[in-house]
Amino acid sequence: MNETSQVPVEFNQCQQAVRRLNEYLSRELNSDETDLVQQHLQQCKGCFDKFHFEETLLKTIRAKISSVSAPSGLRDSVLRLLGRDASGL
Amino acid sequence: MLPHIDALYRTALGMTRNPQDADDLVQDTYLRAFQYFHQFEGGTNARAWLFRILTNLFINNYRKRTREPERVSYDEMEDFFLYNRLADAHSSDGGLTPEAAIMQKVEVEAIQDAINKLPDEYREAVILSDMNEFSYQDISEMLEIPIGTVRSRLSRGRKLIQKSLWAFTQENPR
Repeated sequence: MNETSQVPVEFNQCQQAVRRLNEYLSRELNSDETDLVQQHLQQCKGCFDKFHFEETLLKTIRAKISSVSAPSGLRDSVLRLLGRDASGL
Repeated sequence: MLPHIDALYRTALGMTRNPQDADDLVQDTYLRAFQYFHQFEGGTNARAWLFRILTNLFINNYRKRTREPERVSYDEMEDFFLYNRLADAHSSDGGLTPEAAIMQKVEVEAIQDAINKLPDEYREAVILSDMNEFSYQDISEMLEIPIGTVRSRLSRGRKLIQKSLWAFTQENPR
């Protein structure tokens, strides 16, 4: 491996980026790999659109599901069970 | 007061697929947490600890014991399934762009339906990762499975979610 920061030619392919999609979405790639994916997304409109869609979908799912809250009866029961001293849990 | 109870309830509801079981599971989680409260050191991550307890109780007390072999067909599902369908629809009828379509059409009911339809193993990984943003390492410890298994379950789970969301929007046009 050399020390240059140049993108390896073989990375410049959609397949390489797509293979990292899930870990990219989960922020599980290390910073080098994240950079490589992001560089590809800057060069490839097709992948950019798709990756951006996947990110939007994930954010939409998270945002909408957050509207579901614990029923107030459950909150009351837990506080009754534990007492106030555990309310920080 | 109880800063994590909403997320715990959503998680329990997703895992048990039943409001009454979810209620019981959350109460059991807090009882267990309180029981071991003395072992819990300030500075440790209370949220991860509570989720660990909840996941553990779910696996031991609620999850069906059956172990179905993972079906290979999931591997063959296309990447970007939902994007491709919505992009096709967009170019044929000139309606919403794929991103506008999901923001407008994907409602809580559609998401819950899609999560509920996932096989148990995939559902757990998707709920912990996509709803609660735990790391693969955390999920691996909570579910007691290797990180590679977290990765593959999440990948398949996400694809299945997209398939269900597509079916839901087709069946429930707005």
